[in-house]
Amino acid sequence: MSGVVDISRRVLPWVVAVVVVLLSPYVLNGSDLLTPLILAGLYGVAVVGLTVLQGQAGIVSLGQGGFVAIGTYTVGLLTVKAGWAPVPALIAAIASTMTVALITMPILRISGLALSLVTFAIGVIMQELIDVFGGLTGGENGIANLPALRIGSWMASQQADYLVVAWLVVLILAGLVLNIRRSPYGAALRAQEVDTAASSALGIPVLRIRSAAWLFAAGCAGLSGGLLAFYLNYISPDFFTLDLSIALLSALVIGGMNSVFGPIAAIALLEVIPQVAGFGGHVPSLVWSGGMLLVVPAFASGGLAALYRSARDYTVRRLPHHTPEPDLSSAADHPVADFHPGTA
Amino acid sequence: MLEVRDLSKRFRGIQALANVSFQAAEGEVLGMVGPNGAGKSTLVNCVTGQFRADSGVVMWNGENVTSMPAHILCRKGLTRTFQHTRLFPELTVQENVEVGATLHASTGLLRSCLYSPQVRRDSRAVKQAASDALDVIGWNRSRTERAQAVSTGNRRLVALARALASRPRLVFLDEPAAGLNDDETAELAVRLQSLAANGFGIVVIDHDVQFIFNIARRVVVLAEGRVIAEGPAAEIQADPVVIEAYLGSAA
Repeated sequence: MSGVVDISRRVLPWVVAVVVVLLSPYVLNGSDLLTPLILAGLYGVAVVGLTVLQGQAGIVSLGQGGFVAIGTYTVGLLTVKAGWAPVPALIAAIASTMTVALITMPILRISGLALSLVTFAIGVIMQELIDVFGGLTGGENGIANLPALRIGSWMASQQADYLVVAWLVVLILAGLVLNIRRSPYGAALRAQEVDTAASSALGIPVLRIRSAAWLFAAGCAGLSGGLLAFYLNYISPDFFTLDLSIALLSALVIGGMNSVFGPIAAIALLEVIPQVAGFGGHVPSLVWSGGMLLVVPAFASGGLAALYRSARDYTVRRLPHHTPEPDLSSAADHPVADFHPGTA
Repeated sequence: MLEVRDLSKRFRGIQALANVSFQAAEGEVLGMVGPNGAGKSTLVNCVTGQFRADSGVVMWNGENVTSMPAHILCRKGLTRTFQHTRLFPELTVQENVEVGATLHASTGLLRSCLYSPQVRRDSRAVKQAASDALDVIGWNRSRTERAQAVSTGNRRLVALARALASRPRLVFLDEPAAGLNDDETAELAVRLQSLAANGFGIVVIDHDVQFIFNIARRVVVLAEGRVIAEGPAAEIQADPVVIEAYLGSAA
């Protein structure tokens, strides 16, 4: 009986979240918040990928904007110039970012600041390539007249449809990422960030799991870029300047590196506030995201997630509850006779 | 059975290891002693895959594992602890040891995403392996305390449990008794001998010569990157070369 209560307590928040997302168009249609929340959701897809790469594996990537660009241009080129249907084009977007991630995997042997600089170079190279292959990509002029997103017989007919799609994808990915966090694999990811040598000595294949995180984040960025293409209808290289990479990174730091929903809330904040205040653009401006990056950690290291946890703990402490017993385990009687080497 | 032959390693101008050879068997305790700078840590690093030796051979159960990286060797049953423990400071005692038990989990990124039943099983196996390892070393303090809050001597015990959690066949222990008082050292000695009796191969590197001679059946003595003596503990204690090079200077 308690098992059922337990499961429903875990599942309920997700059900509520899905319902809220499905109902959101009715509330937000025509509102000023619609556009920034759509963009927050679309960029949120890339942010969730980044919570694995940066939040868990500790790899600070300054070039995720480049991966988003790959996703966007793949969808743009395939749908406009090659007449592909939307869903295959999205799959191709994910495949192309993951291919580039595969090719660039060797850089993960480096760590720290040097690695971040290399990822920065990747972002810059992507931008240059858009220019270099101008004939294909339309260069400065970009690609126009993308079709609307169509999944099977459903087609996106209004802006708010993209709100639903983006945030449902964010919820699904968040669920996957939270599963990783609580699995032994997640523990291994976090361990190798803290101490690579100790982790190797304990059998963790450090390079292999860093590569997996890199591929995962790239795939998410590709999906984000692909969905962005359908929403924007028009792709321009302006969208993928350094500003986007910094915005994504800022969302991680402002939201809390150890959190999934913190960065998601942060990217929403980064999009919504400028819009409401009147200086919004598609990508949070460098000044704004950079500014938040300076200010928020100064008041709350650990970001929004830490603020949330403090608030929650404060409320819980005020409620009556029992003090848990100390957890001293008695090992005195454990027979060593049962403990043998493995058959590795 | 571990067989090291003619292992050499040079760092810039210093010959850290010069033609080091020794053997370590499963089911016994091998002691490794030597003054500071003798090359003990370098030897462990080269044998267990942190460094690459310049020349020489490491044979592990008949297989040449000389240049293999640390994580592969761990999977083959050969692991080690560190002189400075290198616990994960923000993780709890239990979580630290669970990382050591990661080998009991076989699920990769994809299945972990989906939290498949195998992931659930792996998670339980890892928790159980960690608990067992903590029990075996006699850990009766808090398991949910952060590692950085644990006292220095006790950290070594946690590191020992962490290394044992993967059920290795042979483990190098780098100064496992440092920071422990006499009673705790005696208890550790008993536990290490029990583990050896259960089939674990244990190589203990320590400065506490008394501790080594209490628990080791055989001892290897290093000085200036060379093996100057290897043999049964009683013989080594009486060996004049050893006494002069090491025990004499410490006395």
